[in-house]
Parts: sequence; C-alpha cells; structure tokens
Amino acid sequence: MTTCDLKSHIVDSGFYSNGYATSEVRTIFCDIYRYQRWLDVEAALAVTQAELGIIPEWAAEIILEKAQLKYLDLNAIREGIKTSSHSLIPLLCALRTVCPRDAGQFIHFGATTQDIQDTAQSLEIKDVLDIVERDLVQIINRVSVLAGKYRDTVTIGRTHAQHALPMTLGLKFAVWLDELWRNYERLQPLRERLLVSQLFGGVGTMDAFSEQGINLLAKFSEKLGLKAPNTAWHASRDRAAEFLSVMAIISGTMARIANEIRCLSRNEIGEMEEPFKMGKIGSSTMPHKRNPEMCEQAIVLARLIKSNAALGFEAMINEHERDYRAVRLEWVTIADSSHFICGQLSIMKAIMEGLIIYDNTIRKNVDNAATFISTEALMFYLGTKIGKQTAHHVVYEICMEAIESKKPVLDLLLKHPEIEGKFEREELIETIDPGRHIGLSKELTDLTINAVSANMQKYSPVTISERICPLKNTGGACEVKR
Amino acid sequence: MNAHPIDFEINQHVFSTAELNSIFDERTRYQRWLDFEASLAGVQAELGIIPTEAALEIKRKAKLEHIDLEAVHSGYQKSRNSIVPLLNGLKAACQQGYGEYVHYGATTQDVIDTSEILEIRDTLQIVYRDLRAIEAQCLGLAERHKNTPMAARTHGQQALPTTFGFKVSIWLGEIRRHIERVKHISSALRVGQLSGAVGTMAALGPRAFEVAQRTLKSQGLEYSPLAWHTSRDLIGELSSVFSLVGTTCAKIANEIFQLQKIEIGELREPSGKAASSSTMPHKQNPVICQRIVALSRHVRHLSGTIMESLPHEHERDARCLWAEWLAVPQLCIYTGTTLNYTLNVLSGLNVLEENMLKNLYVQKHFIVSEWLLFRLSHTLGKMAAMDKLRDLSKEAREGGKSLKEAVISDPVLGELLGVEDISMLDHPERYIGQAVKIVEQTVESIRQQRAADCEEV
Repeated sequence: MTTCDLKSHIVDSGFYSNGYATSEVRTIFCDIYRYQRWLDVEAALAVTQAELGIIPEWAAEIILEKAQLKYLDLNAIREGIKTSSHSLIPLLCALRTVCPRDAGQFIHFGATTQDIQDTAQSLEIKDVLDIVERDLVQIINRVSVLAGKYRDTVTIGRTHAQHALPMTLGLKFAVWLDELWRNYERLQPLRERLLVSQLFGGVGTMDAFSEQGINLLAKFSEKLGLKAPNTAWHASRDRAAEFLSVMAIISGTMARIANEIRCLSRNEIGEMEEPFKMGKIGSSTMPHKRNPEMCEQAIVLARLIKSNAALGFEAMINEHERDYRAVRLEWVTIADSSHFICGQLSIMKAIMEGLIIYDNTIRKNVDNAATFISTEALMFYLGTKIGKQTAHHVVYEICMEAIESKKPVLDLLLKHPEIEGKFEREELIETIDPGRHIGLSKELTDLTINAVSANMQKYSPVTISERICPLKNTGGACEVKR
Repeated sequence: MNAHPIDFEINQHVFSTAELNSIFDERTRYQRWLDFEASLAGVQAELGIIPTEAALEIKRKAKLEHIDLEAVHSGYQKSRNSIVPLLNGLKAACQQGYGEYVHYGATTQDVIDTSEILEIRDTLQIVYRDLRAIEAQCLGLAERHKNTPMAARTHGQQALPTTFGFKVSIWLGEIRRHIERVKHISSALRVGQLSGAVGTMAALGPRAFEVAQRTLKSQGLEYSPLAWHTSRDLIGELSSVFSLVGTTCAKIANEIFQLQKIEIGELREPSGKAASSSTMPHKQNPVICQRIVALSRHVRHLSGTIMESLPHEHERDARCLWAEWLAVPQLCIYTGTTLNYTLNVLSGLNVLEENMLKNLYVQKHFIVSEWLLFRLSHTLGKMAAMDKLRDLSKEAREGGKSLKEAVISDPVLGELLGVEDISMLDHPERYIGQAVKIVEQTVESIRQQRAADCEEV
C-alpha cells in the first residue's frame, strides 16, 4: 500500500485540488506523513523514558532507529486495522515486528492511543498555523501597500448596497487591513493555548508512568517543541474548537474581502476586478465573460470552514474521561478546515497581488453620484440657516422627488420655498463636491497603516522547512506533488 | 417586561406579526392545554372511567378566567414541571374534589405535544395562504413582464439577455413546489399525542385506545397507537420545509436587494414615505428585503437546532425535547413573518424597465457574444470561433471599443459578416431564446395547479 488508487476527496483530486488546498498543507495531513509523525511521537516517548530509566536505553535506541515508516509493512497495518478496528495498535505491531531483541516490548510504554494521536495533532496544528501566519503576513503587507497607494482616491461609500457618502478607497483597504491584523494577533495566544502535548494514560491519571509521570510529560513535551498541559485534555476539546473558530473568523475576513471585490466588479459598477490573464475562461458558451471565480472560490471555502467550526463546538461535549463520538469528529474537521484555510489564503494572496483597480470608473461613478452622496454635508450646510432637522426633511423630500422625476437635485432644491433666495447655486455645488466630504478618510488610513506596521515589528517571521515524504527513496511512490 | 424582539410593543412586529404572535401567546397556549384536559375528562366520563360530574366540573373550570394565575405563577417558581402548576390551578378551581380526576393517565408531554401540533397547524394555514398570495403576485409579474428585456447575470457578471418575467417564472416554480411541500407536511402533521409516560398507555386503562382516539378527535386531530414522544422526524421535516420556504424568500429578497443597487437600479422595493437613514437624507434602502434575508438565516439555524434535537434517548429525552419546544415557536413566527414581508415587497415591487433596457447596453454588445459565436460557428467551426471571439473581446475591452466595431474592423470577421448580419448586436433584447414561451407555459401550468388547490391545508 504505497500509493492510493482512489482519490475521492476534492483536496486529493488530481484535477481540482488546487481550488481547495495546497500541496504544502496536504503534506501535513497525508496519511503517510501522519503515520510518520505518530512514529516520531512514539520514538520521542521511548527516548525520554530511557533518559528517566523507565525503559532500557538499548531498547529506546532500537525504537528510535526503526520508527521509520519506510521500514514497516503498510499492508499489514491496513489489514490489522480492518481486523482490530483499532486506529493505532496495528501500526505499533508493525513497528514491533521490525525491532530486534524484542525492543518492541518497550514501545508505547504506559501511553494511551489518544496520547499519541493528540500530541501529533498539536504538531500538525502547529505546522498549519505556521502556513496561515506566513500567508496572512503577505496579505497584510499587500493590503497595506494598497491602502497607501489609494489613500487619496475618492470613492463611494455604500450602506444597504446603496450609495451612502464619499470616502477614500484607501480607507476601505485600511478597514480590511485592520481586520487582517486582528486575525494575525489572534494567532499568537492561540499558539500559547493550543500547542500542548498529551501524555496521561488511560483516564488521565498517569497510572502507568509511576511517580515519574509529571517529569516524563515535561521532558517529552520539550523534546517535541510543545508545552506540557496541567491535566489531560482527552475529553476537554476547547482547544480544537478554538482553532476551528479562529480559522472560521480568518476565512470570514477573507470571504468578506473577496465578496467586496466580486460586488465591485459587476459590469454596472466596474471599479475593481480580480486578476485576469488571457487564457482564463469565464464561460463555455459566452466568449465575452470574465468571471470573479477566484473570489467566489474563496467564499466557498469560508462557508465550508464555518460549518466545521460548528462541529468543533459539537465535539466539545464529551462524556466522562474519554468519548470517541466527539474526538473522532476532529479527525475530519481539523484536517478539512486546515486544507481549506490554506487553499483560501493561497487564492487570496493571488487576488490581492494582481488586483485590478479601475481608477477612471471610480472617478466616473463618484462624479455621477455627487449630488446624492453628499446629502449629509448639504443637510448640515443648509441647516446653518434653516435648522438641521428641517434641512433633513427638505433634502429627503427633494431627493425622493429627484429619484422619481429624474430632475437634478440642485434645480429642485433651489426652487424649494425653504431654500429659495437663501442660497446660491455655486455655494451648493461647492458644498456637494465629494472630495470635500471624505471626512478623516486619509488620516484614518495613515493611522491604520502606521499602527499595523508598528505592531508587526513586534513579531519575528515564521520559517517553514520543507516536509519530505517519509517513503521517499524506498520505491514507494507518493502521490503528493511538491 | 418584553425582552424578546418578537414581543416588543413599541417597535412592534419587526420580527413577528400580530397574527402569528396570537398563536403562540402564553395565555392562548395555557387555554389550549386546559381544553385538552377538559376533553380528556369528558371522554373518560363517557367511557365510565371517571364520574360524569367530575368531567362536567373540569370542563366548566378549564377556563383561564377560573384559574388563580398568581398561584400558578408561584407554582412554577417551585416546580420544574412544565404543566403541573397549571393542573394544580385547575384542580384548585374544581369543587367537591373533582379536580382529582384532572389529567387522568396522561403525561405532560401528551398535552404539550398535542398543543404544539395545533399551533403548527394554525401556522401552516398562514404559510399556505401567504405562499399562494405570493404566487398570485408572481403570476402577475411574470405575465406583465414576460417581454421586458433585462440582463441575465452569472458570477455577478452580465451573461446574456433575458426577460424579467422569465426571472419571476423561476421563482414561481420554486414557490409552487413549496406549496406542494406544505400540503404534504400538513397531511402528515395531524396526529396528536396521548399515550402516557412511556407510550404504553399503562395508566389510561383497558379502554386506552378509545380514550386517546376520542380525545384527539375532539381537538380536530388524528390518533396513532404509536407514541411520538421520542420520534420527532415530522417536526424535523417541518423545519426543513420552513427552511426551504424562508430561503426562497431570501433568494428573491436578495435578488431585489442586488438589483436595487444604484448602479443597476432595475428593481426597487416599495418604500412609501419611509425614511431610511438618520443622517443621509437621500437614502432609500431595501430595508424589508434585508429583514427577509436576516429572518431566513434564523429559520435555517432553528432548523439546525431542531435536527440536532431529533436523536432522543430511550423513551423520553428532555434535552432534545426542550430544545425543540423552544425552537418551534420562533421557527413558525420567523417563517410566517418572512412570508408576510415577501408578499408586501412583491405586491408593490417597482420594476424600472427603462434601466433594465439601458443596462443591456452597458457592455457595448458583449452581452450577445454567444449569438455571434453561433453565427460564426457555421463558417469557422465553434471552437475556432470561440477562440477568435475571446481574443477579440479582450482587445476591444482594452481598446475601449464596442464588440461591433471590433468585428467590423477585424480582417477575418469583417469579411465574413456584413452590417446586416450583425444587426442583432444592436438589439440584444431580441436574443432571449425561448424566454417568452417558457414564461407562458409556466404561468399556464401554475394556473392549472392553483385551480386544484384546496382552501385550507
């Protein structure tokens, strides 16, 4: 069993995988990599136990040497799982088989299955968080550049999908930037809380580790680069639920940005467009089509990730000291959400990198909308002479009349009994110039760019080393294309 | 104190309607429970299980006005049962110890489940009525606008011309399927509950079947010897149907919301004199459409809660049951309110035909690129024509030219096509395929189905 013949999950599709995951994240959850990680955890356990004199040193040396998936009989493991219905023992049996001098007797000495699998899961999550953090930083940097570049570009602010007031495009990007930054910040405490080992035995009492248990846990954790938790978390799954929630929040931010780009790329608005290059096909029957499909895919992934977050809460409800009905949900949700978030971030990086901004259309749209989107300013200006509430009433009436009759607002306004004779056309034209009513758009943009940039200085960038297939050079072809 | 927006009295009926609230009103529900108890006692007297005098007294006193609600209120502070304090109130109101015969062999859940079914049936009448009224509005829109051309959109981008009536026909199909779903679920959801603590009817005596049948019949319900205390699949099915109904409303509302964007301006929900913004006097927001979308999200999530609550354990499982009992009133009220709003929006919908036509030209002929593709397929072959037009579209876009200009000035296509040949480019409204016929067939078919509808479900 060195290749997988059937690949029915979309993340493993030879054709569509890239829309849902990246090769990089698939090397975390691929079952071959995953089994090697379990073996690494078992080896770390044996070595630590030898250091503490719990098992003989010679045995630990053999286990460490043989705990390589390439030495094990994968078919035997697969058959063993079918027969035993146990998720770990067949792997351990295969390891034992290849250990000389019966060193295999000292494998998994006092641990419970979930100790190994949960510890490995923490290591997997750590790798996922590294990718997420790296990609978030790249997106943050790019959006920061965009915010600076479009700091002064006046555009239409919209509420209820209707024109509201003028603002700058830079400010729109700055709001994204701030949200992106908060997501980055969320990752830090997440690492603190989540990245812990598990080594407490059958019901969390460390019964099989004797008085060495707590010391063993500390050294074992240190060896794996994880923190040692105070108590077992076999049935305490808030960490996984938090991971899934934070991934849902991050993907939600991405989906909101993607949706905004999709909305603004409607033909009738035409202010932005996701990257386009010749060869990208929008329709199989309408040659003119250019569709925002990357944005749409980012939203699809957010919806999937969001659903998994709900399952994370479901998996928190565990009974007694262990409950597989809850924990086994995580085998699906954590892998899926990790695949999807990394796939989504990779799409978002490409979108932000090549985002097309149509300055001319933005200007044209603002000019067309000028009278309506500056009504707040108009109201305040008129209010100086006729009172603000009266002005709201007058401007509302005039606007509704203008929408119905298609007559220019100012023409109608200057004839209104409350206004006639009190104001000149020129002063009103000046009053409604959208560029004059962007409030503190520019200042807020600067402030956000600077704050995010200062905050980013506090953290050092993550480095990600390439994962090598555990079966490489053994003749076992691996399906993961790097 | 009214802490739930359903019950707000000042900003009233934003998330509910008076009609729906009256079904789930607390006092109405208590009276419904009392009615059940009175019927049960009456039937048990007929069958000689309890004294006739007792049944008469219970029937006389099973009116909220005879019950000391203060006492019931303080009873609920002490008891954790959902119905015992009310039964104690009824017992206390009955003279000569006849109150001892109240709730004789029934279990709490018999009463509340039966009441829930009655509430659901009242809701279903409203849902059925409003769905049909929405269908009537859509029939009118589809017919009036079967020839009104507009841009069809895929991926949020203009795709090909269509007609507004055609768009509405698609809605019509969905709504009709919902009407059929409602008929079906209504025919299934008419079985009450009366089978005692674990469904064996142990305390209902040797004539238990007759007791149950006659009592439920008096409530206008049917009877099944099988208890459904822990079998809630029909409630699950109801919530799915309501989710589907609410989601169709949300889909229509979202379409209006999108097409009301200033740059598109093809539809507008009726606004009357309603002001939209506290600080931007020009604003006309699609407020009702947004409420519909918001409410339908709740409906879907309540359906999720109800689905979660289906796997009951053993013969009674309050963890599941109470989650469902809490969800059902909201589910019904939100679904009904969504329909009410949708009906209002569609009844006064502004269709801005001028803008629909104008938008067909936004893309300078690109919207009929498919027509051109098939026009050229005869001579160039479809795949070659596709490649050619894709290149041409990109060039034209980048050069700010219309597709027509690009075609005429192209050395290959210019030769192949005369000005006459490309007249369709100037009339995208003609490239609507079979849209009009599809609308006509849909309208005709739905009218026939409506004729076969009954008044109530």
